[in-house]
Amino acid sequence: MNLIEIDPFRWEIPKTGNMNVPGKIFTNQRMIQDISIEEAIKQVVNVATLPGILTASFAMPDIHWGYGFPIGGVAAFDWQEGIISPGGVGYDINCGVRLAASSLIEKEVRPHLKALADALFQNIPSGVGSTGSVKLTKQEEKKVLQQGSAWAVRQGFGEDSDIVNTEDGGCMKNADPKEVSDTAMERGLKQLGTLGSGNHFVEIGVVDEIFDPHIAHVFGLFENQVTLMLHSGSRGLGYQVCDDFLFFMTRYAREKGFKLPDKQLSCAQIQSGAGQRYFNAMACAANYAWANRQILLHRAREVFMRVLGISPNALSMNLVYDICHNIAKKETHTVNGKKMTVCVHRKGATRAFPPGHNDLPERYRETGQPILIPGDMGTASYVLSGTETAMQETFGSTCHGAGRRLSRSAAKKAARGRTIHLELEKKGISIRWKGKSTLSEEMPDAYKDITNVVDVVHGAGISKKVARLRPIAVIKG
Amino acid sequence: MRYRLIDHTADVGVHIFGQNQERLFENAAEAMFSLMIEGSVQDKTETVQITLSGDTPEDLLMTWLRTLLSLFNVKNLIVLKTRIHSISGNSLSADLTITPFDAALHSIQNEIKAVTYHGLTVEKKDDRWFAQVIFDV
Repeated sequence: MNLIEIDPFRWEIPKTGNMNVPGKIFTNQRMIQDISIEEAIKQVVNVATLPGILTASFAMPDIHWGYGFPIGGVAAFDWQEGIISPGGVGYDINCGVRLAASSLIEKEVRPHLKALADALFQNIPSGVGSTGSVKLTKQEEKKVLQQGSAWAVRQGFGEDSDIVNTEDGGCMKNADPKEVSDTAMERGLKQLGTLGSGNHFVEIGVVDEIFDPHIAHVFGLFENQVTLMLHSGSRGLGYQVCDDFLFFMTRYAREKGFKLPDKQLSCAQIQSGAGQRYFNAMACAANYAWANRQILLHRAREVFMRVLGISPNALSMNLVYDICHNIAKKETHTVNGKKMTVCVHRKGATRAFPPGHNDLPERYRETGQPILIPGDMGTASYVLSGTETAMQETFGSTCHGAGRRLSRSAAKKAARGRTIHLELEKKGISIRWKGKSTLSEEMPDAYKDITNVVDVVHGAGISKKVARLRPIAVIKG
Repeated sequence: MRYRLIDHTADVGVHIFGQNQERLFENAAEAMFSLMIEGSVQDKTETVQITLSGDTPEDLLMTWLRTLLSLFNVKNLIVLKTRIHSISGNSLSADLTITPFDAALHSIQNEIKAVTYHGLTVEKKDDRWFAQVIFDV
């Protein structure tokens, strides 16, 4: 495949064959040589063939082989002529991250770290099939799907300011529970307020380095500050919504005679009945995920107050921001000098809106939105801010994390004979985990170097480095 | 060999083999549940019958695996064994031996979020049947 280096951070796959647009990959010389990227690049090309795609099929530096769309992929489609694809969003709809920053510093928390890790592990249900402390009726579940974060806050799980500091105010308004299957509803009944398994986590961190003091100040971050990061999504309900619509759209695409390079790319025109039904069902799952992360944050705040014996004011665990990783959004962008309504698919990618954007809360209008990039559990996470370059070039999008380097089985092999939790303890990181193979599958070596990934998006100008966080305690499902 | 795991960066793939399509589908079900669950001591088992149909052999395999996965995800049931009576015209009827998941007897190895269409194949090569399935975990 013909890959052309445009500058140290940008590679292009020229438009050939059935491609409607070129492919554009943000990476660097070191990462592009990783042979595991080959399959993912083919997927970038496949996405470029879909109807109504605009400008380019993008891949972020954390790109890895997904199913259909690559993980770390961004693709925007004309709202009138283009398509929407469940595979372009992924199974864990609105899998995302939220970061809260406390008024505590590391030395105040260190002596209580083990107790905090134990209490978080006990009070935040995690692991496969875990059930939550929030029991829903079907009627109430519909409200969760319609209201998202606001539902959780109304039930007492958090504060109004949490809603403001969540992407889209924690609610996609087009949500229509009628489009969610009974099976998906059934799976959602018992899982609200649960973390899940795999790469989902709760992490206590410390602000380790500040790169942009002014923006960090606006985000409420300062050196040595104790933070809390959560990574979770829409649980079984979201997987089921994706699965239901992939199944449906695969048949739909076959009936309509679509020529798709991969069935996992099955899709429907956004304006079609099928397209609208998926968009409205996906929004339900997105809202469920926001309510879920809101409840998890509330539980974590309770744990901090109880273990440390302090008041909400003394803790001041304020939400910095909450962002989605797997989503399709209706947004306005300028394409070839013309304002257009588009459907931006971000699959393992993050929104990166710039300073002055109307969709941002007042406090972030001057700086651009906070972008939260978790690394592996032994290294670091980053806080970045959105930029005008992202808006002009990538439909306001950037990377989402480190991205896997090793497959799960390769990671397990590499972990043989090692005691991962002791390695982490030596680095000052307390770890609690549920799944038998979670630690080896999720060990730091399984992921790309987060610093390298972040340096690419910073160097390319599609995000700006603000602060680095160092993990001190991690809870895994 | 009934099935073999293959490497895929973010997910888990399986190559499945069978002397005919019926055995292929039974082996696919076995592969999926062995990826998910460890432990096999059972007291309370029950046999249920199902019939399914699809548009193509791939579509039928997808429908088969999705149906079994859904039993676990929604009803908390493990499928211990499957016996497919026959597959014809992309329809099948089968007996499933099921048991409720019990944390004291079983442990979960991997959460399978879904059976994906990515690289999904069902084909007859010479006298043997072959399938590839990639699970999102």
